[in-house]
Amino acid sequence: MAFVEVKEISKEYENGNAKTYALNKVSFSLPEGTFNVVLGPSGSGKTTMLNMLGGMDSLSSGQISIRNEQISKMSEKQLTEYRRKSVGFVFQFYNIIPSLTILENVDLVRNLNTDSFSPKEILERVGLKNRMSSFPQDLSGGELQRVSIARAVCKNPDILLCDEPTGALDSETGKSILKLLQSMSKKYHKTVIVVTHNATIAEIADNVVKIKDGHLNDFSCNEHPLNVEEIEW
Amino acid sequence: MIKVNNTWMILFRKNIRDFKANFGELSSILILSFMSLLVFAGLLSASNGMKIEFNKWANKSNLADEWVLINNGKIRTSKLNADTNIKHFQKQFVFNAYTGSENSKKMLQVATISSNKVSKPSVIKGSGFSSTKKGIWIDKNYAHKNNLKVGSSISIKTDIGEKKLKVNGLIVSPNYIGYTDTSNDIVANHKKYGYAITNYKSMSLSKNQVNQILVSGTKGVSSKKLKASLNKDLASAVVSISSRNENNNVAKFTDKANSIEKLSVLFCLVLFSLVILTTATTMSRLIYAQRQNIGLLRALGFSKALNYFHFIQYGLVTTIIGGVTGLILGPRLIGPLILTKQEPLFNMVSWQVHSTNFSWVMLSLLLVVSLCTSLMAVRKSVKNTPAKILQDNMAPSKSQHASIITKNLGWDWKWVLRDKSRDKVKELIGIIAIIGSLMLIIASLGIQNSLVRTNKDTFGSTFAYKNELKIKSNSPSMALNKLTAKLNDDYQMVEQVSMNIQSATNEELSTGTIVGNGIYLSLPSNNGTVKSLNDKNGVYVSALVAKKLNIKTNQNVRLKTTLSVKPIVVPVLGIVNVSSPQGVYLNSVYWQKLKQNFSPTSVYTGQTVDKSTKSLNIVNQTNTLSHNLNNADTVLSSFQSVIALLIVFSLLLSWFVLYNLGMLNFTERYREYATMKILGFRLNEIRSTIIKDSLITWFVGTIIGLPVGLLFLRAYVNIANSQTTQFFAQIGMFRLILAIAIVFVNTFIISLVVARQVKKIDMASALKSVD
Repeated sequence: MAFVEVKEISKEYENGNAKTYALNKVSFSLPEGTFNVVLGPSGSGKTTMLNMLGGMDSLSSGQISIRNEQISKMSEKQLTEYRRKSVGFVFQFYNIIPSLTILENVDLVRNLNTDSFSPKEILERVGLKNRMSSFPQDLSGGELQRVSIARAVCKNPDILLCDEPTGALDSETGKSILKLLQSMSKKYHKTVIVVTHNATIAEIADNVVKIKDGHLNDFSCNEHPLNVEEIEW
Repeated sequence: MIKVNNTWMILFRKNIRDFKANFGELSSILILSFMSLLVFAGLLSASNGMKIEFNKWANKSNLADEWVLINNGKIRTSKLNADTNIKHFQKQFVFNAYTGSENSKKMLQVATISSNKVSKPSVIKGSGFSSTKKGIWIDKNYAHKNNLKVGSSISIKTDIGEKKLKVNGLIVSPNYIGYTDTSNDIVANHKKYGYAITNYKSMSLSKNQVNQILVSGTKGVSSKKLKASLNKDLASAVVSISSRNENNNVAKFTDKANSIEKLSVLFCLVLFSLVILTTATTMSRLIYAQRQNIGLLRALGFSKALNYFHFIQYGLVTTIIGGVTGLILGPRLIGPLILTKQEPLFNMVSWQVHSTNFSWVMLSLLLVVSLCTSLMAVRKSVKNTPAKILQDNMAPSKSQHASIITKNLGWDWKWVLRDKSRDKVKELIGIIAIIGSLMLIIASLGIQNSLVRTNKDTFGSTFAYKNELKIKSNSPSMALNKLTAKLNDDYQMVEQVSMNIQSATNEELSTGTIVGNGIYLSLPSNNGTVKSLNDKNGVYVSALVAKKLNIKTNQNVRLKTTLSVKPIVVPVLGIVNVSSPQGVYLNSVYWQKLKQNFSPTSVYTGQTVDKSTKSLNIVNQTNTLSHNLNNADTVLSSFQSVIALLIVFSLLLSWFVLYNLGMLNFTERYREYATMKILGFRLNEIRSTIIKDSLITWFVGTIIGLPVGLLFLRAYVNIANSQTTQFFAQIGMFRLILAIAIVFVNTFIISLVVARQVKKIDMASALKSVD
């Protein structure tokens, strides 16, 4: 049974009389607890895809189901509840609130869900045990991305959506972040979807969705995904 | 460096488009600059107009520089003629006369003159004054209200008999600009009180009958020198000498012109701070939104100077447009409005607004202020390197430490408090806006409260009679006994006389109120207790006079009236907070002990006065307490338009400044709010942080604003004071709470308006990169 079911989704924008498709009849499905990569160049529609999966944008047609629940039919209020309980976001530029300490940033989301994890435990797991009382401006990019992951995982969501999580990091730090995401997926049995233009990252994924010019270019399952240590960019 | 051949034109076009795009934000600077200058220039043109028209009239009429009150008798004028400090002098005999029927007696103050050299009245209708032509020249307002025309005749009754005189002319006299009557009335009642001039021939009086001399001094001679000369020339005949600023009738007008001028300065100070705050917040917001353009222009090689020039135009051009428009319209709209409200209060011959160059100076100052504020806002971005500007690195990056105070608070309070501590200047602007807003609203609600309460305290607490019967002076005791019997012995006798009060340092012509034992006059002291004059051996001094003459309790003062052979020295028992009349209060028994004559001019009673009492020969007039209170309320209504303006300004202040601040905060925290929205926070949860942010600013502003507002109210109420009347700053708990509530509701609504923006956040933008 597919955990994420994307069926014939399209997103179109009207530009005068002309119609532009950000996504055009894209379909795929992903099983639960897997590490997935949506791969595509700039402007391919991968971020639009992430926005749809995260309940942040509406579809023009098609449907998206997560655990058999159709998010494409949800109201504004239901979408907020969906994001609140079911989705964890990891952003390219971390989006950590500068006025809160690291622990407070993670703790912030704890009450959004009833079965959240302990923020301290998660921060320990991402290797930030000693930085809990620091403020974001005192942390490096890699550390901030760890905070972002901790925050996403803390509320115990069903799905982790990551938008270019290594885009602002050097390759070594980027790899450590990917390793963390992979281990989080395994440890907590979370479905992780990473959106990236970096084809190398696709090699560590269980499933790869390739998008080009709004169309599904390719969908592949890696029988033997590589370990993060084995990839290089 | 890039050559800027065509650049100016391109940037100019960009500015025009930016102006259109940001008109909503810039309109706050436009409106407040406009209003600042509108009100300032308007009020100043009114006060300047009053002064100029007064001076014109004073010159044309040769208005007296000094009014010398003398003991009635023969005056040797040879010394006055020889005195080089004196340009002109005019002897006159002033007395009160009564007209009208027994039941509606009216009073005319008549000046009998033999020449018309000083304080020449303007003749509105009829013939000019003549010392030989029999007849009377009457106050045109009195004539108008009593249907008297030139050529008609009027019968006047005096202590020495009745005279029927022909009305030769209708006049307006500069001596009586602020004339009401001899007692406590604050506003003129032209139906009941008026003034007139006549000649000795008409009154069949001897030219030796003189109780006042009007003197105009030689050019350049100071009032002090002229007074010294007059004292020397007239010696013991002098009771008191009042200069223009001491003569109640004249000073009332000049005081009012000055108080409007003070009001314009007070407004100006508040409004300038308002413009500074609005410009600072609006410009910060606009520049923050334009930071990418600034970075780009810098990166392309445009100089810092060009950037400054380009971006300060937002604030500067808007201020110029708003300020100049206000400057032009103020004297045309606000000035006439103020003068219209003053017109019924004074006997002035001409009312016109006159603009002053000082308004242009204030406009220049406003532009300098706006320029500096805009420069500071632009500098924040332009000073950085192009790379730094383009990196969107506007959020402060300095390290923070978790404070013990915030440790146990919820994340939202922590977030808000720490954000505030990071940008203290911005927070200070918000707090100042709340303080300013609260200050103005307390003043708006308080001024009305203060004036109404002062009037009610005066006519209800200080004076508690039901009816005041004005009686002929020197009435025989038999007639008085007849009157008091008709009042069921429920009365209190009162004599009000002009009295020269001298302290160790100064002197002033004021009113002496001498009262018999009774219950209808009691004096509130400044510690809240009420003083009765019954059986007291000494005097109470009203607070305003005490302050002017530097009089303190237990000191002695010298008193002199027109009938005093020599001044008497009396101890001061206390300072009392009486609004009107200002002067000294003492008991009649004590007055008589000092070998002074007590001749009641009024009788206060709690009884209803019937027709037969009113028609008694010794009764000149009957006034009710409610009539006096109504008069006071008429004066209050002249403040209403200013009060309404204050309320509007205070709301605009908090609206523009707090809205701009709220939007600036929102812009700066846009990504954070978007992140929260994506993380699944509900709208009301995000909204609550915005509201909490505003509430903290409101709370701190209110704590500071309350005492500051009360001090401002006191200063504002003091402006309403005149020579004869003091108002006391008062604001009831309800109005104070209302003021706080108005600012709170305003702040809360602004928070909600700002919070509505959260709904419009495009969540996808939070995921996008910024470079």
